[in-house]
Amino acid sequence: MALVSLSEIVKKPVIDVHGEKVGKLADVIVSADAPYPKVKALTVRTSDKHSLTIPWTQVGGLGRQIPLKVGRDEIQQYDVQEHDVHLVEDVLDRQVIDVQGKKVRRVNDLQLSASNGSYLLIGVDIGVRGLLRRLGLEKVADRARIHFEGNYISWDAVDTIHSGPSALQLKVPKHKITKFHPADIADILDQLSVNDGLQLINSLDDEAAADTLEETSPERQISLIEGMETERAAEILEEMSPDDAADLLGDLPADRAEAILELMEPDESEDIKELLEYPEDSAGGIMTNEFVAVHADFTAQQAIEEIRTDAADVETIYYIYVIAKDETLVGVISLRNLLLARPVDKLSSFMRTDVITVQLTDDQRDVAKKIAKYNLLALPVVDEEKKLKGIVTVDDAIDVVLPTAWKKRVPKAFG
Amino acid sequence: MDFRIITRHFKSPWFIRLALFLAIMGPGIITSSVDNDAGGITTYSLAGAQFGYVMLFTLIPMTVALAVVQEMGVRMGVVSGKGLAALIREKTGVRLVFFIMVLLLVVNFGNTLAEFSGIAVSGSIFGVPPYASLPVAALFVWLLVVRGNYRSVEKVFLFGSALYVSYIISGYLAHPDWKIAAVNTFIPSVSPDAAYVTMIVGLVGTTIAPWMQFYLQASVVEKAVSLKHLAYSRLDAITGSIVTNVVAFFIILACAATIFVHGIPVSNVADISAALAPLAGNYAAVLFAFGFLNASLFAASILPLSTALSVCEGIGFEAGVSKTFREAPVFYGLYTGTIVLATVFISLPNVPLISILFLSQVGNGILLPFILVYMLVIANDKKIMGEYVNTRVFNYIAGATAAIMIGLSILSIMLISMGFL
Repeated sequence: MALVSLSEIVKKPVIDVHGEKVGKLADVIVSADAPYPKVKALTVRTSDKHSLTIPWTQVGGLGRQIPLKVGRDEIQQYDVQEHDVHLVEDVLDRQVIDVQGKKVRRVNDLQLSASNGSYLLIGVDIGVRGLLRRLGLEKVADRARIHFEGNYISWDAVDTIHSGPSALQLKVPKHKITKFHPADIADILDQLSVNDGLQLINSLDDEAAADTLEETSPERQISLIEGMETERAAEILEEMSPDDAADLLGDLPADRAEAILELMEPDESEDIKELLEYPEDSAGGIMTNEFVAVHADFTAQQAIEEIRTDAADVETIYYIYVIAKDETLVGVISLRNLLLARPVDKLSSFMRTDVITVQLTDDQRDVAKKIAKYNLLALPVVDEEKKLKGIVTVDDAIDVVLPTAWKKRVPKAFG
Repeated sequence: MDFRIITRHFKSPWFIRLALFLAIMGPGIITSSVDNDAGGITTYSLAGAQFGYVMLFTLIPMTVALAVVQEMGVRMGVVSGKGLAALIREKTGVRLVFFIMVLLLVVNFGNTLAEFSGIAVSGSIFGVPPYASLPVAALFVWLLVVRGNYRSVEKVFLFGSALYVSYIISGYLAHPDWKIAAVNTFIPSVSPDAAYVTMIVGLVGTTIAPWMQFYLQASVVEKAVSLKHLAYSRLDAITGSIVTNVVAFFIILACAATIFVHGIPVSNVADISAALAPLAGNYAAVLFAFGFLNASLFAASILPLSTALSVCEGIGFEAGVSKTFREAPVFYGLYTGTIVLATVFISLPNVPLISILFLSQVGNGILLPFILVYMLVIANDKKIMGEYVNTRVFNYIAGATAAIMIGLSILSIMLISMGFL
């Protein structure tokens, strides 16, 4: 199997069938419609500064010299197709996503392999060795007996993201990255430019996009949402938990936030609007208003039915809050106690009535302290009339003490 | 309509705009402030002390030059979302970027040495010996970046920028002759004297350093400023350029009004601070030395980080303080190595500091033409910048700026090699 590195053939002489030099190889064009793209044509820069695009059918091979099968005058011009990618211009030295390592890498070199009379793009060189080869120092390092392992990733395990006013797009819907955990996607997102990140987000479905956004830094969230179509932003925000959506909207310019809210489903936008009324650092500002609340005169059986039908979208179901007719909070039941109770038992007969609560305007740090002190998974938030307004879950409480950006770095740098 | 969102943060439209600007400002002002680092302040003070008010005329053209280059940098950062090293690599390939990065590494190490020597000198003015001030400063710098995040570090840096006001007070306390100062600011006085030309070259040379362009663009990218807020980022860059030269103005003024008028010979910042005390009062002298400490520490915090980030970005190593040592060994190696080596070097007795500083100046001079030319090339590339390419008029101004800067850096290399600087 003949392997060729792109850096070994670029700028090498292209010789026609009569042995005359046509020019130097400038670029290699592949068609990106297969897992391993096939070489379709070569771009050659002639000595009088013209550019020729020679179809692969007229090329004899790749190496230190690139022989053509035809004479100089018989060269046909290749028409560049929609899926065609210029390896030097569009891939070399750019960023790709390493799907296995879940990292953003920079392309030091590309590997082509001979197959059935043509060449396929098979791998990306991301290692020091590829770097040295590009710098013309590979032989020097070998002679000095400094050995660097080659570090390749298969083209099949690479996602490309290109954006920009006129950049070529790899139209193949590869994007294996969409199957990553949102936190991993967010890590990759943080390393991309806003434009590239936008394209990545746009390739995700609404739910994955929402989960990913929740994991990125506030600054990046804002830039990404601002760069999106308003409709798409509204759809993604619908999928986010209302408290995160409210924080994000609160940081957007007011007119943009209004426009997004207008386009959202009324019941989703109502939830968010309600949360936006409270100061950012209060219990009301960090709570979510998606929680399970059932009436005190329900039986255990009825409560479980209620949860089954309504609770798909709520953040936590481990606590079931019990409310009176006027929505005042009268008790709480853990999921365990609900399951252990007899189906006919009234909730009021076995609920805990000494519920630990916070007020809407309480400081978020006090909320976090209470959650820590009583080892709770969530804490109900009530207004002055003791009406249940929302809950603060333990993950949001952690964010108070340890902001998302820090969660990622503090333990790691010393880990 | 629902106006509750507005009530959450803002009261009125002008206030919204101000709040937006305050949220986006930072990179420009910080970068410009660091421009007045140990080397910059030494040069400005000596200019004032040795030549008096006549050097003030350089400040307005320097402000314009800095503003033009900085504006281009933030525009490139916001539009492309990529750092300067990445853009140069994608535009020209790995060879040139490797060459530039090696030079940058060497030059920035020289600059870092200057900052650490600034810390040692200003520590000594306050009676703290170098063997105490250097390790403490190095640890502070290292922890600030490794344990902090962009937001918290930026706040510390903005606070550092605000401390430059000490120079403005110090300049005011020196009771300068405002009329002569005003005249000299607007009317240049040219002299063919070799020492005079050398000083002007030195002044201009401290204005636009190569590493600043990398840092500025990187911090705009890190902040993920969106295209819609480009105007605020530009304002930030231009405000920064003006503020930094206002500070320079007062440094020159303070030294011109006192040391130059009395004809006291000085050769470094310690001399200047000592000379200021009897002439402008103890407060002025203390503020001057404090400003110098702040500037040195500030630049020492930014230079090693900026170097490590740029080199890793250009060559393609993992980088960033959110990575572990194992994930990003090159980044942490460069970052920590720069700080430790600089600290050790400055602590050594009989370090040929002057020669090192000259060499790093020469390196700056070699590097700057590449950076400016490639910034111009990239800022004119429609594929990268889209509709935000340089306008024709802007290109004339930026081109002239680059030409003058390049000419002066070549001149300064010649002067250094002939032994004038």
